[in-house]
Amino acid sequence: MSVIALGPYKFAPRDQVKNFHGNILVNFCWDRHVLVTAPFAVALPPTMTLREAIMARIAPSIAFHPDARKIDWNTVQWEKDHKPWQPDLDKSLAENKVGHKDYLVFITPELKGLNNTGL
Amino acid sequence: MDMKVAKKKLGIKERYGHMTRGLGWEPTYQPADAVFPYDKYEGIKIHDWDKWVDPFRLTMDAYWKYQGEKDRKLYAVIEAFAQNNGHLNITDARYLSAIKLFWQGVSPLENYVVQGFARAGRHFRGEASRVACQMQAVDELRHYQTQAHSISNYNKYYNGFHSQRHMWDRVWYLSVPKSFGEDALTAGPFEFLIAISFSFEYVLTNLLFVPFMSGAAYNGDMSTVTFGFSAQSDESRHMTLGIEAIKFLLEQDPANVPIVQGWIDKWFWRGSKVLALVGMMMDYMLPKRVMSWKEAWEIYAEENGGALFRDLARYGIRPPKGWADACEAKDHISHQVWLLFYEYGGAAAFHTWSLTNEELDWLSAKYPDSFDKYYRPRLEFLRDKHARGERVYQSTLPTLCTTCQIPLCFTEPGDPTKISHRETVYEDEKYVFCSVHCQEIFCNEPEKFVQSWLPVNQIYQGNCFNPDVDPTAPDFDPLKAVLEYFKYNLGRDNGEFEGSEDQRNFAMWRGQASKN
Repeated sequence: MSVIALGPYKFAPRDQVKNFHGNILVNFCWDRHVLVTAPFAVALPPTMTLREAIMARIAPSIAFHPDARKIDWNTVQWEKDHKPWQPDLDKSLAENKVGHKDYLVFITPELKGLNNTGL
Repeated sequence: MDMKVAKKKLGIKERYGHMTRGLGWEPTYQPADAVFPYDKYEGIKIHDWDKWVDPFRLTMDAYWKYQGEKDRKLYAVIEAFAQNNGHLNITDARYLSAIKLFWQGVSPLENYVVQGFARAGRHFRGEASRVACQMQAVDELRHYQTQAHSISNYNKYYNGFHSQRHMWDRVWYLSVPKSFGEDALTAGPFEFLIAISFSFEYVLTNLLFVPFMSGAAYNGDMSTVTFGFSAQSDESRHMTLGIEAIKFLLEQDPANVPIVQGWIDKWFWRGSKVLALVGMMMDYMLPKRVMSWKEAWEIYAEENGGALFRDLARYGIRPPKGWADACEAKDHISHQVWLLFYEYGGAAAFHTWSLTNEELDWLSAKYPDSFDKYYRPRLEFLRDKHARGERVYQSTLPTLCTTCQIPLCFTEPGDPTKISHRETVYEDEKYVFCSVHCQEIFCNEPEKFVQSWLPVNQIYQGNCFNPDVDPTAPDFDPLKAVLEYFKYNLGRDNGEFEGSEDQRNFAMWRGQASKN
């Protein structure tokens, strides 16, 4: 379906990658740790490795969660596009085929959250 | 011989006829479709505009008289409130955060509704509908003005009330009501009517006005109570207009039914998301609580709304698609939104705080199925951290829903520890949503929502800094620069309530009023 309008109705998407000064926007969600109230959106150079991105932007943002320091990033499970995904942390975002506005979920099944209830 | 002739007085019905249809005319040198270019393209078919009747049969002359009387009373109370330092009679300075959020995020929406009804009041073909829309436009303008006049008294003493117009177009959480209003304003006049008059005014407005105004009364805010009462009779007229409007559309042509149903699905969901802010006010921001958000939802949405949709079933209208999910969320959304604002409290132009044990117990009792398991542990954890001097302030920006623009803080229906998210790729661009319903709204009108001005994404595009800022400077602090662009007075408008200037001043002034 499309917008019902009297005339042509076509506009450029506002969040195209060319507007981000060489960065891509990447979303990170820590699965079943809702003490961190919402996933993060961060702008990152696609040449940055996934590990650098995590250490620079994600790890400090979740550090207040008591499970955060127990994360072994080498064994974390990932989902992208709602499907299991196996990135190489030491390769760049581009090499890992992380695209603009992708939504990455990192899963730590052995860490059960606050009170072991997924918080 | 002189004959005494009784002066004939017009009955209400005749008077209404003269003051509505009697004011219209048939255009002669332009075709009617050129005079009214916007009331057909949405696909709504109207065969007889004269079937539109305002049940109040209110005419402009009577309207001015009633509103003038109400204004005189209202302004007398506002004046007395200001002269008697009425602001010191509120329960606690924490209450002010609710008024700040109302002023920042709800009052400007009144102005959008003015614009929408002024437009509908020009573009509908039927005179009676035009008159009703014009009156509602004036009502909404009056609501904005009376809110401004009542709340300006708080602005003399407390932080966060300044720069409302500036913040509305920029601040991240205000993009939620702003995008709601702009979505409605940029729709055709019939969709606007279903969005505002029906879905918002009729189905949802009681959730905003009744608990909010009772909350003001419970918390000693006579100023807000008075503008609430002054608006209340207008609101009941707006609700009636909403129900009459939808019945009129549905009775005019069976082809209107699926179009109207689509708008109900969309606008009920959008409205329920905006009202999550009200849920947070009720459960967390009122020092004296009236009822829980869940109770309000059960009375005003489930009971009243349920009866409404049973009544509309004879036209072929079913409850909105998101109904079951919105009802399931009554146990969760107020807590999820408060926790979001608490953690992002450094970036909000009102205060957040830790709840006392009595307040936590109240929520435990009101939310037996969700609070102790999912929310109390989080609130206690954050309170303990604050007590240890480690108040949590999140500074990494959250992912926003492309449609409702709320950060993705809501969980999957039936799974309160799983953040709900959906994705759609449209013309090679990816879009993220908070729910299947927001995703569906996008997919029905993707060209509209590809334009969404998402504050987080705009910040990363560099569009939310003051012009003199140098993002390449070594000491550049992007979050601080953004908050300055929002015109926050840093450290006064935002952050923790405990230790805030509002808290100190209120305690000091109230102390002066009651002690030597």
